[in-house]
Amino acid sequence: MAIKLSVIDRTKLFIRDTNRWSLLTVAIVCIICIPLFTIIGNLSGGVGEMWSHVAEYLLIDYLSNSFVLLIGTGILALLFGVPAAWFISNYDFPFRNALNWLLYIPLAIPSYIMSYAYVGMFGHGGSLEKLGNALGFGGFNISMMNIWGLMFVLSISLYPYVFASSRVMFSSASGSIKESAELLGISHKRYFWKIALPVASPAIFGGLFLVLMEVLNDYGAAKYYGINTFTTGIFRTWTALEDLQTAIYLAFILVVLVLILMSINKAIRGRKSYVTPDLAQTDIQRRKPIGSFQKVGIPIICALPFVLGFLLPVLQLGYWATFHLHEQLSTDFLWISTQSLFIAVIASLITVSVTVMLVFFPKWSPQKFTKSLIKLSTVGYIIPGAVIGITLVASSGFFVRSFNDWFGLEIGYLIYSGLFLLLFAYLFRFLAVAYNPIEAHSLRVGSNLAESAYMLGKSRIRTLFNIELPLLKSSLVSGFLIVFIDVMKELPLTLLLKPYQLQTLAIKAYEYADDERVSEAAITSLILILIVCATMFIVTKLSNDQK
Amino acid sequence: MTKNNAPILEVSGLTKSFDQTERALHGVDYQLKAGKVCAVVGESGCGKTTLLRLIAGLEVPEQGSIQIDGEVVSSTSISKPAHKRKVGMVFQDYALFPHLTVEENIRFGVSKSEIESADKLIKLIKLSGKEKKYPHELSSGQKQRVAIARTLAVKPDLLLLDEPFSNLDLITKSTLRKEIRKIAKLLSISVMFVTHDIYDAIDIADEVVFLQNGELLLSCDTSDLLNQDEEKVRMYLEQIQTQARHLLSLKGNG
Repeated sequence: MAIKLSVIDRTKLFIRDTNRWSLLTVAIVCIICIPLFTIIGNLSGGVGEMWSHVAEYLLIDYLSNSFVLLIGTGILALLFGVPAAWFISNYDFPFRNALNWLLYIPLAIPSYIMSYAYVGMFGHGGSLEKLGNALGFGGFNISMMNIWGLMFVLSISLYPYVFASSRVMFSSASGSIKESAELLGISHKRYFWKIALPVASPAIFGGLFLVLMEVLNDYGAAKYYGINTFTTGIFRTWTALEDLQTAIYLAFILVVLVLILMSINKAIRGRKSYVTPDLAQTDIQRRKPIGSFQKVGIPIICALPFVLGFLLPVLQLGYWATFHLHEQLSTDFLWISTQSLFIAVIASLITVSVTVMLVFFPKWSPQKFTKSLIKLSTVGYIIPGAVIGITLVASSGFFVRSFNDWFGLEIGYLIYSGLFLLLFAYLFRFLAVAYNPIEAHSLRVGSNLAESAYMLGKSRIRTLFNIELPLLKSSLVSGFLIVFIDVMKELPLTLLLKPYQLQTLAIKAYEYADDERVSEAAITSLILILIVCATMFIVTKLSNDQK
Repeated sequence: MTKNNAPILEVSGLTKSFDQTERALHGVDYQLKAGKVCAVVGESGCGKTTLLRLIAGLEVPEQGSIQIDGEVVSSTSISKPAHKRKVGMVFQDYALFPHLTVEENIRFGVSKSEIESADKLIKLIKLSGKEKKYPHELSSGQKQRVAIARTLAVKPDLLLLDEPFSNLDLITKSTLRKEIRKIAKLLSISVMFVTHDIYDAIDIADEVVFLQNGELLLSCDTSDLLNQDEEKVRMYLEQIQTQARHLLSLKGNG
């Protein structure tokens, strides 16, 4: 039976339960969500001058291209990711262990770098054509600079999201369910279609959702291939048409598109339970040996995404790098790498620190609404970088004008010439990346240890530093490194919000390609890939240790 | 310092619900005198642990108040944080810090000047020789001892124990029951512990509180337990009456 409380009693309880941690949580969430408030606030300001032009001539193009890209990239990512995950989880074959790790590596190559490499390989005058001529087969090339080329490049660089989520589900399938199916005489093929795939489908769609978010976020590859998507449209509306208001309207449409995708993902997951007992037994004990025909077929199917998604692009980049090794390996290059690393480290530190606050402050507040408020601050990951960039340009403009009008203070140079805006943008975009593993780990650790420290007279802050953070060390480091990887690879936000003097490896690679000096982007790209690969290796090791 | 026979704990009209729909506790009134051992008995989900957590300050009530040693620590307008209530609590799963040794766990809550007295507890609670071990290297009984020693080290006015014997084998359980009573009397500390086993209550408590569906059914001295007319309590006791009489007679003879 519910307790009936008068309004006065409720108000009293509300005041009693509102402590400094509730107020701090609200303040942090409000600050982080400035980009969201900006979109909503600017919608009421009406459309910009160029809206009719954009709506009449470009919007259909943005919509149709984005739609075709989403569908095509999604299907290809499923085709690259799901079969490989199935075979690796259920069969024993040569190089299985190596491929198990190698299939994640394409994530280390940003899609814009992948797009340069593929044009260099298959495009007109590319490596394939040169090789054909050298071997006497004649020139041969594949036109990559179209929507199909972009679709392929995006899918081969993003399929690891699908692979990772399918792999977890396929390898954790209950051994007893599998054995029951065998005893019922169900073939392995039928087991895949009727049981394994339906059970894994929510996780697979979860991975697919991340792929689609990245497709909408992509700027570099679409721009290089000359395909008009929402993200390139937002950039163009602001930079070429100089209409910020219309750019924000486009951003709003893009956010609506993301929300629709999110609802579809949620509807597919539904309320069914797909958790099976007897976790991970199958992966070790029940993998099947394969026949002679499959001995060739399965390794090829599994190796193909790695070859296309990593080996070939890296070979192409390596080939280009040999031409520019001496001219590029200079102090300038070292300085750019240092800036890249510095900004990624600072952004990761800030993101992990804010994450810790957002994980713990609501726990220290008896107010329940603070816990649901946190979800709002982690939506940045599903909002494309271009949208965040544009909204931050708009909101910072508002602050700069307000300070000038109200207090006569000119703070523009502080905002635009420093790193503040860019670091804030990274925080908003990548907060969920750090929040999810740290929150999950803290839930696993539970509240009893902290509560028992409180009962021993320790304050919340002392308990946090003496008990909770030491126990969360591995997830804090993982969260830091995952944000680090994302910031190192990030392009659209950095491009929009970086101070004039700042150079990062990602920006430098993009600038070379934008200047039609794509081969010169190779060394920068390879260094970036190397750093990301090494970091991914540490993250994998840490997560294995945690298990 | 509490005067003799003055209540160390006083709860009145204590009401708590979760998600505004289900009442975990409703209008509980109870006083615990200083130096007494009280057992809170009831079936699973009757609100025993919630009562303990409210007293400890780990939850906040919707209605009612809690006084500890004469000071209001919780009401509809006040909620003193857990670490300022001078209440110690031993959790059901012991909640030992896994990255600290036995000695570090026990010293965790004390200041440098009190380390010596904390170390004496290691002997008192029979943990000598285990000081450098980590929690995962101990048995359940040893973990329970560390948890108790750690809580006693900060010299709380009131010791709360949540199902202290639930994870123990019969022999360890019996030994620890005796030791808890002995230590409580030795240190003149008031104790409130939660159990679903009436044996625990009869064996070491001075008073018993019965909770049912979040409401206080009965509170009485342990020695008066068999004279109670309350039907539900009788039903509760009938199942074990013979054994209870035997235990009580043994206690009386002792």
